[in-house]
Amino acid sequence: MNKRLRLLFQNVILCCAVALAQDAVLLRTDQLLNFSGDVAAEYRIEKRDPGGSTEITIATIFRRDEKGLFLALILSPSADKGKGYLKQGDNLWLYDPVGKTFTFTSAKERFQNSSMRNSDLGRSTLSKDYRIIGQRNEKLGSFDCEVFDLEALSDKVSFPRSRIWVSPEGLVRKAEDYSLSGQLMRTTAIPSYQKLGERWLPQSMVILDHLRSKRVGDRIEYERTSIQISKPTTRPQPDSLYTKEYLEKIAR
Amino acid sequence: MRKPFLLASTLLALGYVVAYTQEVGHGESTIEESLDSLFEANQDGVAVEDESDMRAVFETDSRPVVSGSFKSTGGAAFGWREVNLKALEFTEFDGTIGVTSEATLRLDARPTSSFRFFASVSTSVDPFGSSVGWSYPSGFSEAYADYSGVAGLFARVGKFSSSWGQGKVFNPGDLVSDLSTGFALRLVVPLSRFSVSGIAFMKDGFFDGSPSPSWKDLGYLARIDASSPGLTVSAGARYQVDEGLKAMAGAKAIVGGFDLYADAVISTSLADYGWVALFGVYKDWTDMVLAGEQIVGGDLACLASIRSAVAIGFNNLLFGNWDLGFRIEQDWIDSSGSIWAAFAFPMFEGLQMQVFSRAVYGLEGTYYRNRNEDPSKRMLAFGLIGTLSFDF
Repeated sequence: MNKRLRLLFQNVILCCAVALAQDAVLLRTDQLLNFSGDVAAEYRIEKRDPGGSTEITIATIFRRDEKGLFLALILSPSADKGKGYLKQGDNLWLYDPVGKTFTFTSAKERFQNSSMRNSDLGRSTLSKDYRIIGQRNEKLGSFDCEVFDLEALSDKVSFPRSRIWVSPEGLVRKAEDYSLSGQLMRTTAIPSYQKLGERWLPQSMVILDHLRSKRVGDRIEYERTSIQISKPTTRPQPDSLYTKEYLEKIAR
Repeated sequence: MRKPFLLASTLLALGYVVAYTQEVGHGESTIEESLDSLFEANQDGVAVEDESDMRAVFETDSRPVVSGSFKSTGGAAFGWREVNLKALEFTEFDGTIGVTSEATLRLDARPTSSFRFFASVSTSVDPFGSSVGWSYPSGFSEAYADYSGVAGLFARVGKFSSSWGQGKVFNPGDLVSDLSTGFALRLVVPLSRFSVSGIAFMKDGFFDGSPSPSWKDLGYLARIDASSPGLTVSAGARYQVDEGLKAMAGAKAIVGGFDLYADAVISTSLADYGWVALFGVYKDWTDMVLAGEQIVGGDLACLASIRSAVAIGFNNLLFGNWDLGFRIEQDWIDSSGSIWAAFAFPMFEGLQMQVFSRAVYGLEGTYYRNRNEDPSKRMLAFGLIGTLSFDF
């Protein structure tokens, strides 16, 4: 009996240790990607419809990860210049300069009708939003990655299930997002990062939306959103930047 | 001799069939787009920090920006002023044509990050109206200055428009809809998840009863907004000594991807004494938009109005760029209502066409019959409208 109890106790300890280690992986990833102060950069977002046209949006994104704030201001196209999105926690505000009104919506929604979600633009919250339910090793190009299957801890996230490829540095290189039924909805690739101080910011990203596809010859093409992130800065910004009044002030 | 030859031929034929089907299979197989080729080499690097002020491009302009818009709308419509569906009677047939144009000029000056001046002026012409020729601008549509930078305070003074309330079809919570007809001072204090704003305003008629106008004759508005994850609430009030007091409260939550919202307004004004409550649901799927609203109102004695509205819009429904919209409104007290449906599609750059159908029903004197927007007061109308518009 004592032997069985001891074995059971050891198993419980082992399971807890594994769970803690897995939580530490996601926490480490979040720590590498989240900044302690303000960070800003220019995002060039190119959306290509499957077999069709291309739309380019250039935006400046300001983030204050500790407070869960971000502000996205559109630079181009000129018709949208000055339009902005303000995210405060899980809430997203959009300002309509014509109607002089603020729209309050969910951060799960798409950014500028692209494959990016508004929640992709803010801080990384993998350790808060997901738990690891599976793990294996896999080679991804030149990267020896650990592949983690994730399950959402709440319905606040955009995707209930995900699979992420994490390189030895602790950075997410690739992510596949799934619906509850297991349908692949989106694939995100982050082939390059740029180091800014002690933290990392993606330098390029590509997102395939598997819900929007078209057969082109013998290929299935998906809606593809390519993002280039440049001009990064950790220059401190005023508190008034992350307010609705600021959106109203700079709108054209 | 025959048997080996037969066997060889069969094997050869079989091999050919297998090879052929594999070739067909390969040609018919689909290649799915993959991103794995992006990881052939490690391209990580060290960022060179940008020293420029990234806000400057939005906050300041070395020169004032002049912009504007031009819109010209013309079309034709036909229909009947009296319709009896039970008897299938359509009487008083009427056909009309019309054209209007509007031009707006805007000036936007941002000499510093703290100061902004904006002004707009509009003119319009309706050749089928009272006067052929562009109307003389009666003044600025908007002309105001913004100041910010002192402890996060935001101030706007001048003639400007604003909007409160959450309704898409009915909007009883918009206590500031007439702000642009006068002159106002607005102050906003953002406080983390709260925002407090106050407006003092004046417009024509406020000083009529006062031999010496004072601050007591001004109108005052105040509003507080607060938000938490998935929920935003607001409360506001408007007071002017002759108008009385109006108070509003609103809330909006996001449930299952749908926006659920409610506004309530109470008025002590003799002109519109009573209360109004709005409940609504809204969802935007990008290619489809759905809005549903219910408004009820009355005074202490009775329920005076119950109205509902449903609006559905489809973007790029046909031929890649034809939009379709429906809107139905119903008054449940006097059984009047309106139905509107339209197809909109682009013809050429800047030119959009709209084919529409509009019906208004109910007895004479009912709510929607009194508010029939048709220029000839037709109960049933069909029409074609073209709108040419450019921004510059």
